[in-house]
Formats: sequence, C-alpha cells, structure tokens
Amino acid sequence: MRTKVLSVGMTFAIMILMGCQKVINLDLKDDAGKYVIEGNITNLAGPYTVTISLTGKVSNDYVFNGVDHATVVVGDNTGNSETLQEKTQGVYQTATLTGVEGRKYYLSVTLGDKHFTATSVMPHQVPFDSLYIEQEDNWGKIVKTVVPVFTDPFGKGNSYKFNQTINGNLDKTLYYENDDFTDGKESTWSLLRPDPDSTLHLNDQVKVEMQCIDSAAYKYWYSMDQSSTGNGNGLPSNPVTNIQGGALGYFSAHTSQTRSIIVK
Amino acid sequence: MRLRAFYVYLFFLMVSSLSLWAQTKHTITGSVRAKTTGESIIRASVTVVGQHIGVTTNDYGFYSLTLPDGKYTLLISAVGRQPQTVDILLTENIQLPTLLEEQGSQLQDVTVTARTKGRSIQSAQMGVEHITTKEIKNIPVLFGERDVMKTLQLLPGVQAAAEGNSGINVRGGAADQNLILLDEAPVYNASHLLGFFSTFNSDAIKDVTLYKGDMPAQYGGRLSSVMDVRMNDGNNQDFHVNGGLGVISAKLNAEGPIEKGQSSFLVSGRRTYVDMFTRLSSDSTKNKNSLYFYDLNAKLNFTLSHRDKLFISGYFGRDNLSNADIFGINWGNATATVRWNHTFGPRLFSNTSLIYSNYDYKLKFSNNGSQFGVTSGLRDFNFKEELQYYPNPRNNIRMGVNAIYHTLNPGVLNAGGPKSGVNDTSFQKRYGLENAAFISNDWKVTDKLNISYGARVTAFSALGKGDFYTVNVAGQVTDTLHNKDGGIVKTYFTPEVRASFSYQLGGASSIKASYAGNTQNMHLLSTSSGGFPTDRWVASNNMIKPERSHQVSLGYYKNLDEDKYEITVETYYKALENQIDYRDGANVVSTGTIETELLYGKGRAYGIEGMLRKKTGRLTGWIGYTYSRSQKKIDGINNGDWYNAVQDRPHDISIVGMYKLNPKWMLSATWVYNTGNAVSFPSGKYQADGRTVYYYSERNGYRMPAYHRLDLGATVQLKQRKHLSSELAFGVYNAYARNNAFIITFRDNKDDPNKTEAVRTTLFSIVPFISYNFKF
Repeated sequence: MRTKVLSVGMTFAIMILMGCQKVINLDLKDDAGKYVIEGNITNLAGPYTVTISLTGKVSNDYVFNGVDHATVVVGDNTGNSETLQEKTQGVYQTATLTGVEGRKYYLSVTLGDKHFTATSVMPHQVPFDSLYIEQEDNWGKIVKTVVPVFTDPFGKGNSYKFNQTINGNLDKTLYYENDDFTDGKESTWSLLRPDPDSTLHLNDQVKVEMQCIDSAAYKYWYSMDQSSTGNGNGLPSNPVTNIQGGALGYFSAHTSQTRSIIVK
Repeated sequence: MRLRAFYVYLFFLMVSSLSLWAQTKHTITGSVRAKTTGESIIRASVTVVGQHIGVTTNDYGFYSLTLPDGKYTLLISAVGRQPQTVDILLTENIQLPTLLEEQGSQLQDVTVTARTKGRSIQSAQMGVEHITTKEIKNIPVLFGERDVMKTLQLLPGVQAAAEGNSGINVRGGAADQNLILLDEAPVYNASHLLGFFSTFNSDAIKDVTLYKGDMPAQYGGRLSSVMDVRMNDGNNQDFHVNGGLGVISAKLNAEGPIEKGQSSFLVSGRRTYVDMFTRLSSDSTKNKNSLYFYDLNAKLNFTLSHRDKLFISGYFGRDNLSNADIFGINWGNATATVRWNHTFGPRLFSNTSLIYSNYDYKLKFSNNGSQFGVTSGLRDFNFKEELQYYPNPRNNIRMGVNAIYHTLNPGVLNAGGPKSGVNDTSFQKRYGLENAAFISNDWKVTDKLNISYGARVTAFSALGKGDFYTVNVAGQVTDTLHNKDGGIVKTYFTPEVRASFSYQLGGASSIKASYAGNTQNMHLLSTSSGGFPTDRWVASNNMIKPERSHQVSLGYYKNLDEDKYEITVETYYKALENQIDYRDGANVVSTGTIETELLYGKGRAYGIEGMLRKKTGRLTGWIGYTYSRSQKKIDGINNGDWYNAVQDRPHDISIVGMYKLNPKWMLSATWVYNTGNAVSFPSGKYQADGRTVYYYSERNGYRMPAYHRLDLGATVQLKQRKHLSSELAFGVYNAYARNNAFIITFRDNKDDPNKTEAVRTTLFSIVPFISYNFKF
C-alpha cells in the first residue's frame, strides 16, 4: 500500500511540474513465443482452469494464443490427482478435483520435452465481512470508493488480493496487501483507483472478490504491479513467478468470497 | 606481501624526497584573502618570479614556502583577481598575509578574464574541475535558479541524472557513488524537490571542486567522484545584504564582520513559492497540495590568535510534499561542522574537524480518519584530523585520520490512533564505524616532472545490537546471528593506493597518468534514477561487502595562443567490484531483511573526454565531448550477462558560450546533446488475471530517444545607486521546445484495451525565466 501511495506521489509531483504526454511509435524487438501458464484453484466448486498460451507482440492486438496438446496434472497433498481435459485450445479444466483450505496443490505441465511445475498452498479463509461506500480525497478530488471490511487474524503471513468489478467491467487496478504492518487489525483500506478522475457514481453496481492468497502469489502480484505493468514506477522486469521450468505466469490456490453493493 | 613491499618503497620514496638542503633556509607563510571581503582564497598561487618554484594555497587560503635565504620577488595570483608582486629579503621566517583585489567590480564581476590559470598543466592532479560561483552566474538554467550541480553537468564526464535533475553521474558511476561534501560534512541527499534543485544555495558557496577520478588520499568513501563544496566565510570587512527574486524562489544572504578583519558571520536562506501559486488555482487537485523547500546556511569564523582560526558552519534544509488530507512527506539534511586551524610553526598546518550530518524523511498517511507516520534516516558523527607539512617547495605532505560513526534507521512506523489500521513497527537500526588513515605527497621531482602519491587505509566495522542474516543465492535467510552484546559483527580492511604523475612537454603542453583505488561502505538502494527521498541507504555488513573501484586514466593538456585556449583530453578505465543491485520484484521499502532482496556483481566503465575551452576575450566558453560506457554483470540479472547500467549514455556533447556585449550586458547560451539512457522496454505481452502484463527479455536492452536542448540567457546590470547594485537575469530553458522524453510508459488503449500505447512524458517544454538580484 505504502509504495503505491509513494509512486502516486511521484506522479503527482510530475503533474504539478507541467508534464505533458503524447502517444508515440516505438520500434520494439519481438521476442514472441514464451509460454504463459495461468492456474487458479479456489475453495468454490470446480471446474478449475489452467490456461497455457504464448506471448504476443506488443504492437499487435492482444489475442489469447492457446497452446494445445499439453499434459496438465493438478494434485493435492492428500493424494488427489487429476489430468485436466483441454476444453478449447490452451484451456484445460478439472473434472473432479475440489479445492480445500489448508491443502497444498501441485501443478505439472508437460509440453513435448518441456516440463513446468508449481506448488501453491490454499490459505484458510478470512471472513469477508462487508462492503461500504465512502467519500475520500484522491489528490484533491473528492471521489466515491468502496471499502472491503475484514479482520486480519493474529499472526503474520496473511496475504490478500481483491478484484473490483464495476457494472460488469473489471477494474484493472491491482489490489493486494499483506499483514506486515496490519497484523491482527480490521482492514478498512478502500479500493482507490490511482486516476484522480476515477469515482463511483450513483447506482453503480460494484462487485468485490476477496481472495486469501499465499505469499508466493502475493510476491507475484506485488512484483507485477511494481515492474511489469508498463507504468514506469519501478525497474521493469518480469513478475516473480512460482512456476519452475522457465514459463511466465502463476499458479495460485486461494479462497474466494464475493460481496456486492449498489452505490447510493 | 607485495602490498607491504610497496608501502616500504613508498616510505623510502617519501623520506628520500625530503633530502636536506645545505643552505640556510627560512619560511614564508601567509594567507591569501580577497581585499574587499576578507574571504580566504583557495588555490591562489604563490610563485617565485624567475624560478620554477611555487605553492598554492590550501582550502583555508594558507600557504608555506621554504627557500634558501636571499632576495625574491613573489607573484601572488588567483582566478578573477588582480595579481600582486611582493619583493622580499629572506633572512628569517616571514609572515606575509596578502589581500588581492577583484577584477571588475561588485555585482558585475563577470569573469571574462577569469581562469587565466585554468586547469593546471603542471600539477599531477588529473580529472579535476574547479568552479567558483562567479562562473555559475552566467549560465542559464531551469527556472533561472543558479545551481552549481547543473553547471557541473555541462563538463565532460559529468551527466545529469535526469531531465532538470541536479543529480550527477560521474564517469559512468551511480548517483550514490559521489562523495558530496559541504564544508567537509557529507550530504546524503543533495537534491530538493525530487531532484530539480540541488541543496547548494549558490549565494553561500565559495568554491566547488569535483574530482572525477584520481581523488587525493584525504578523500575516501565513494567510488566515482568527490564534490568538495566550500561555503563562504562571510565578509569580515563590511556588512552586506544581497538577495534575489526568481520565478519560483526567493533568497536572502547577510554577512558581515563581528570584529573587523578578525571574525565574521554569514547567514543565507532560500525558499521556493510554487505552492503559493498552486494554492491560488481553482483546480482542487492543485490547490490542496503543497510542494516546497527551504534551506538555510550559516557560518561563523573567528581568528583566535595568529596561529588559530575557528570555523563553525551549518546547513539545514527541508522539503515538503503533501496532499492536504491523505499523504505527506518531508525530508531534508542537516549538517554542522566545527573546524580548528592551527599552525605548528611555519611549515606545519593542522586542521581538526568535528562533523555532524543527518538525513531523514517523514511520511504521513491518513486512513479512516486516523493519521499514522513513518520515519527513516541516517546520522553520522565524524572526526577528522589532517596535517599538511611543507618541508620544502618541492614537497607537500598531507596525512591524517578520520573516524565516522554511522547510525542508520531503516524505518519506524508510528501507528497513531487505534483506527489507523496499522501496527507500530520498527526495523532494527544499523551501526557502522568507518576509520581511515591516509598519507600523501605532492612531489615536484624536476621542473617538468611532478609526482603525487599516497595511500589510504579504511577499516569499516558493522556493529551494534541486532540480527544479522546469512542469505543464500536464492535470497533466503539460512542463518541469523543475534548480536546481543552490540560488538563488532564484521570488519573490512581496505587499503587503497593513489598515484599520478605529470610531465611537461614542450609548447605549453603536458601528459598525465594516474591510478586510484577507492572503497565505498555506504550504499544507496534505489529503483529510481532521480534520487527519490525514500531511497534507502545501507552500510556494509556480513552480507554486503564494500564496493571497490580501480581507475586508471591518461591525459593530454595543451594551452594554445598564449593561454587563450585550453585543450584537455582524458581517457579512463574503471573496474568496479561488489556492485549491488535489486533482485527482480524486490520489496524495496517495507522489509527488515533487505539482504534477501539484493544481488552482487561487478561493473566496468570506460571513456574518453575532450574539451576545448576559450578562457579570455569577450567570448568565453567551451565545447566538451564525451564517449563513455558503463556496464554491470550480476548473477541473477540478465542471465548473468553484461548489461548497460541505466546511466550508460555513450555520446555526450555540451557547448557553453558566454558573450560580454558591453559592460552592462552579458549573453549566454548552452546546448547539450546526449544518447538516451539505457532502459528496459517490453519485447512481448500477455495477460494475467485479465490484466496486461509486459514481457521483458533483457535488462536495459533499449535506449531512450536522444536528448538535446538549447538554453539562452542574458544578464543586465541595472543602474548603480549609491549603495545598491542590482541586475536582472532572464532567459529560456529548452529554447526550441524539444519534447525530450522523461519517461516512456505503456498502457492499454482506452477504447480498445487489446491495443497497447507507448506514451512519452515530457517534463519541460520551453520554460522562460526571470530573476532579480540585488546587493547593498
């Protein structure tokens, strides 16, 4: 949270100092064709999905470039294991597996002679108490934001991620936090978008998903936000993945709870 | 063993150079001062007319010259001053205080004839640049705020850290590898307003020396450069007030004698007022925010006896950036120096310094109506004793010791009220003791050959209560040492050798060569190039080893057309060890185990710098060109291959011209060009959880667009009144409105998020400025 505020501060300082922006053409090297693996296991009912795709050119429109004929296996530490079925090109799904809090999950992907593995522990769920709307000062503008309320359990090591959907559209801001500084506290951090013009409006339908994630997933979202979203805040680099074998992406077992609110 | 043999050799070399003279000798000592102000003059030259013998004054204007008894004529001269000759009959030790008159008068002391001495072609010292505040005056800069660091950036081998930024990269070095001293006190964050201004108020500054390599042995602790800034002592003849009003700041300087000719004071202050304009704005994103800095320099000096002088100087500066309700940060330096000059007889000069330096920042946040804050900083207590011994005109020996006690506070979080949602948290403080001893000699071997040699030994100890971690290559803590008794955890001894020579060729030209070893035990971890106030300092410890550098350089110097022009060419190669960089995705602020986020490797920097300078006439100025490279090789970054450091900018050109139209008007122009920074741009893209993620195939494999800019300035002397002289300075920054890229970012197109846009942010287009300066 703190670093986020700081980088916003930097942006603000630049704004005051009359920065001007222009979209330009850049000639970028094309290093396409890197494997991207994305796998999520939740405590909700399955099926759970693992996708395998290839990176595309920056200058091209994004398309999901799925990779087929992979052998994808997901298992847990209680002996359950399942080979996933390819539903569409690059999209692999479970049929029987159930996500359970506290279990450790294993992912194995085989593509010809390439082999990728990952593990993730689904944390115990922290209850998502409620949502409320508040007005707050966003660098000088009063904006409406939504506040997810929950109480962090005592003992460090809890990490969270939030997804905010406004009127059916995913807010692409990354919201994540851990309890390094907030252990045991009730959390009342709002989901504030960095753009000062971002505000919720009357009758907006806001849906918030709260995920309890493990520390490797936290590291992934943190490092992605710091260095891989193109915003220029940190030193650009790839997110720190928990996938072994040289693929991009992540494998996350997490709990999922959703609350909704209509802005009054 | 080989090293020991070298020291034995060095010792004999030093002893043999002190060979006794058969004749009776006596010593002339004195100080050289400015007539109107009583300010001591640094690097004034005292030469024996008709002989190739002379000395230069030290940092306190003191010199000592021992000669066989006889009749001599001494020529005493300094940059921008009228030279003086003195006839003496030497039969006993003589005290010869000298007052030099200024060339030109008062405020319009435009230094068209200055620098007649310029870069000394005789001295063995290489890679050095001297600047006096007079030279800074006429060079146009952003917002018209005269700034010594921005003037230094126009010299070969010195680059601006970023657009409009006062931070410097010297010969491919990182920003934290510059030792920046203000009256001997290290300044840990030498910039204001996120880098747009330096902490040095040019009104309070007397002299700046920048060593780009080949640092004399009395300096140590940073790899790339030493920037030695000396404050004015204060006028000990008359009381004066001068000041200025600029586009964004105002400043006032008062100085005068406490006891005429004996003691004086100086107080100088400055504050920006951008925030006062932004508060007038009707736009609430601007008027609720504040962004300003102020700083204060003060100095007192006393003549205690004809052998003793006491100087007390201090600096205090603070920046403030805040949004009314939700966020605030303020940061700044405070330094204090007490120095005592004492002469033990005519040939031994001593300076004892007690130095304090502090840098800290405070963050304030608000959550849920409750405030909480974070404090972090760094504090030094520093003792220095230095002796200068002048056995004869051919040798100048310096030796000394230095001890610094560092306290680093990585951060304390104060939770404030119960509703703030955070816990009180503090990271363990770190302590370091940095001891050093040095000795050096400037030896004029023959009329043509000068050799300067010396050695410095540093012992750095990490100590204090706390937990010290052993971290494996994967960045995991494998062992923790609980240092309960607070004793020494680890000590590093690092011997450094410095040596250089110059040989005068015919036709007012010379060649020089040098080698300098350096060690750095205080390291700045930064993810920004511009020196963000929250960048974190760490000291060497059981995991973080001292950074080392070895620099060799070679140079050619020539004065042309009766010293009207000066040509300098220097080339260097620098090897760097134990360089530090962040791991990918490092947690840069909120961690107590910072060692788990770091990687170590080596670096190299090399280049060639050329400069043609016109020193006299109505038109003065220079053309400088630098070709330089700076690279790093660190396991775990860029697959362990060499990669370009951020500051790698191969081509750099600067052209500076000042033209004295008439006694009233001075015109100036500067043009700079450099290759863009090395930077990481994406080489692919994909999505994770519905968000666009960029794929990076290598570190710093791209370049920013080339940077170039023209600045124009003019200074006009206004009508002189009885006691008041004043001038108006105005001009434009970025005269042809070049859209230089400050940063290039990538984002989803708003209408079609599957498309990617590269966005160039330009900080400053054309910016006019005007300022009014007065003196009475």
